[in-house]
Amino acid sequence: MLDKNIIEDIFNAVISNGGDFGEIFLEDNYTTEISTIGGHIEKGMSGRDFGIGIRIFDGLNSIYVYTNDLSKDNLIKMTIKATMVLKKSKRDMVLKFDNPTRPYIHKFSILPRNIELSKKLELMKIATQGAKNYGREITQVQVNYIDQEQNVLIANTEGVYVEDKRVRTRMLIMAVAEYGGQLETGYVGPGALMGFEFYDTIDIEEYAREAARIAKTMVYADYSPVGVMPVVIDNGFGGLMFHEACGHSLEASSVAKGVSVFSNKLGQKIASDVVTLIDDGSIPNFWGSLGVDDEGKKTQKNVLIENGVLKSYMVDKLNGRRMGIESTASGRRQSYRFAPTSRMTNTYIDSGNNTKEEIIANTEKGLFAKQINAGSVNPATGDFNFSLSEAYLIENGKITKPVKGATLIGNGSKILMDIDMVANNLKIDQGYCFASSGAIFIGAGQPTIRVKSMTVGGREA
Amino acid sequence: MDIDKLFSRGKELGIEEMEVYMAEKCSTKFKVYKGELENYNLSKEEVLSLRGIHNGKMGYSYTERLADDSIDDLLFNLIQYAECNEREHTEKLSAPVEIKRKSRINRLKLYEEDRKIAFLKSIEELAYSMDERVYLVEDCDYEEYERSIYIKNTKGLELKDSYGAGIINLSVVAKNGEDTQTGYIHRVIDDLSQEYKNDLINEAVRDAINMLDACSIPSGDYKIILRNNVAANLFSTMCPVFLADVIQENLSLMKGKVGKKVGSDLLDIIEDPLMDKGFSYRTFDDEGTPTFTKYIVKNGVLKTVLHNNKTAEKEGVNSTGNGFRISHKSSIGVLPINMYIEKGSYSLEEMIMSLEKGLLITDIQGLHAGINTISGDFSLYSNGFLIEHGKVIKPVNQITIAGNFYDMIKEIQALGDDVRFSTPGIYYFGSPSMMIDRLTVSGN
Repeated sequence: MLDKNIIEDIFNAVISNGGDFGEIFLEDNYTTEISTIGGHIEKGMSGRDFGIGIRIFDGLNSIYVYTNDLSKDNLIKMTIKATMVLKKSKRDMVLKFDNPTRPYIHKFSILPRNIELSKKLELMKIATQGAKNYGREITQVQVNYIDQEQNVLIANTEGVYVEDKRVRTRMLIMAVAEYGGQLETGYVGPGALMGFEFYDTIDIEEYAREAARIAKTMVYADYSPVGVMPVVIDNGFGGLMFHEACGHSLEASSVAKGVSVFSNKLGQKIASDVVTLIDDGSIPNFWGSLGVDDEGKKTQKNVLIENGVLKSYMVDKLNGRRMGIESTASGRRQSYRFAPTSRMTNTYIDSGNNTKEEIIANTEKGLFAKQINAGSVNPATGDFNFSLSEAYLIENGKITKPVKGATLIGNGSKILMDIDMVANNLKIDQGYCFASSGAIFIGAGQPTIRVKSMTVGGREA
Repeated sequence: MDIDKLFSRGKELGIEEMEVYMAEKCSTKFKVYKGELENYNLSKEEVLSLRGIHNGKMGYSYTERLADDSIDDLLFNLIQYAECNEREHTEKLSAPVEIKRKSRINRLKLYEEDRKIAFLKSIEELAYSMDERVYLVEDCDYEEYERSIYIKNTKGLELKDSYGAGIINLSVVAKNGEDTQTGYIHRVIDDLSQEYKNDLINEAVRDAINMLDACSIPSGDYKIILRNNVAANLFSTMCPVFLADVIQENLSLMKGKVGKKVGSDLLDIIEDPLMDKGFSYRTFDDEGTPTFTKYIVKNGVLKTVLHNNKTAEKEGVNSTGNGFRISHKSSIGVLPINMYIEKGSYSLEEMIMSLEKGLLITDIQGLHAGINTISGDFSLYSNGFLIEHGKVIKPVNQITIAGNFYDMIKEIQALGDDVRFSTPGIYYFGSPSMMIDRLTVSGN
């Protein structure tokens, strides 16, 4: 993808100006992102992202350069200009790397760029119609279609020289329901680290009906009660709560400087016995998976919390230096425009011993959170929030009427101790995560779980 | 890339009209940590977006690989898009136009890089010295960019504009025993002035320190003051409801409200692409329409919504010069450049003093999730202070505030004289602090 001699010249410029580590991340990414409203193409386009990111370390300080002018002149000029700020002299280092390896583990059969746009649009129309036909309450359907073929080349002065191909496909379906002047929405977003063959494995109409069902249910719902109560969170994207409540606080980017609530707590009990939390970027063809991370290391399964005990953080190369530990293949970035940092891949709570039915039956009065919309956390304080897109009351051990407008808030270190039941129905769904190295694709999942007490926010006091 | 070659190859393939949009951006970004230049970033990019009419329908494509070998890909992607485009309204490419306004000068370019680094270091140092409970200055970043836009089409239009700005991000962690709190600010700057420095430090350090030992409060309805930063971020998230493309797709309750009362008498909202200290500054939009300053809401009445050529034609009005792309990867939509609520007459202190019992909200979280931008319902994690008898009593956290945006803007009871802008992003929105009749608070 880039002449080996140019890579060597870049690294020599790095070393000559005092860098003790150099890395390049070259990206050539064929993308299509289109959105339809009511089945008509409205926004987006197909194109090609192309550029290079050059990263340089000097101890714990770092430099990042990116550009899409790949002429040798420009690359060397920018590398020199940036490394000048180090005000250091030449390092004594020997470069060693031969030919790029391709440690792919994920299989793709149909590259989306070989599929005509009209075929993609056809699928979006099926989804639109599927949602519209669900009921007369459905007044609008928006569908976003995304595919990418991201080809990357990663090389560094320590001998890493790898290529990876990440092919991703996803469709987000949003149905809007209207009743009595009220508008409510329902979302679903199936996706995978797969080519266009993904659509042979799923029934897109079924997903569209699901989005419509959520919108229709919520438009007839009353506002959620507020206050402190037990909350049962259903399997699937509910796992986003752990992504927010503790995932971000276990990333080395917040742990390394001692800012995280979980800094210096390895080996300590930070969650109740029923909690095992895993981050695994190697699950074949999952939305949040990669062949190698964006620093060129083969992805792996990381057990973060085992039966309540903190076992590992998610670590990238630079923060690993600060902490004196190895990377856990957690270095990720949105594109060549971002320096990588520690991020999640597919993060989930492992299955437990209860059944979903037992959990509901054992809850006298509380809230059943069926679908989570999105959330955020302040890693320093651990305070998190997320909003629900579908929720129900639990009364006398039974799920009763739907309620809308609920937000769950809490503190990550407290809530981990308050989880008292975990079911055996693990499911991992797809989403995005936004942080300092950009928007990345993540999986979030869990079985049905219960938090014995949580603050539910909303409009009805 | 040779644009003439692109156009002539396009004509060969049967594309009737074409327009390129090229954006060039150079940026420098750095971070200071414990007195050292911890991180330094440099970038230079040039990207190209193409649109054109094929068989009477508009098509789009883009590339970041600006070499002649990208020409065919660009054109074939455009044709595929046009073939799929079923919209009746096809936007037209603009004819040549004269732009009278001059580009804005980026004053930050006058400073040497070493001065900028020294300025940032002094901010970090001062933040530590403000209070011994300042545990860590987590982020102390400076970013400066220079962007130029070039549009050329087959009708003879050729325009160029450039602008730049700087942003400082400061986030502070305060600790008192086991309790940790944070304060942060993102600020657009156009100078290395003492005033900016003081503002930045005061706000970030003050928020972190004052929140120490915060606790929750009982649920109930409270009178609320949204501090300027909170109101700005809330309005920034909701501001798509004023965009004609969103309205025409039935995704905004502002539909059919032009000429009608939508807010309190106190509410004036302005969109100003030519604002001197704005995040961006544009003399023409991405369709080549000259920009201008306008009232969107005046005395609570919706005067206009924002339009591009296509949305304006649908309603038989003129474009407001807001036909912009979010990026080179998006087609032309409707976007504000700088939008703000005009200031009122009270200081924040006066508003607090006038409150018998209520809450001052100083931070909200989860805006991407906690607002339903279609219905206007919101429920947001908040930090703030309990106020009784006109005095600040104690810091409050672990609560949510909830209400409805459309109701809330009708219930604005007072506006401050302290306009602040939201976190720089796609929707850059300014607001003064505002007093709201009531919002629902969920706590313990």
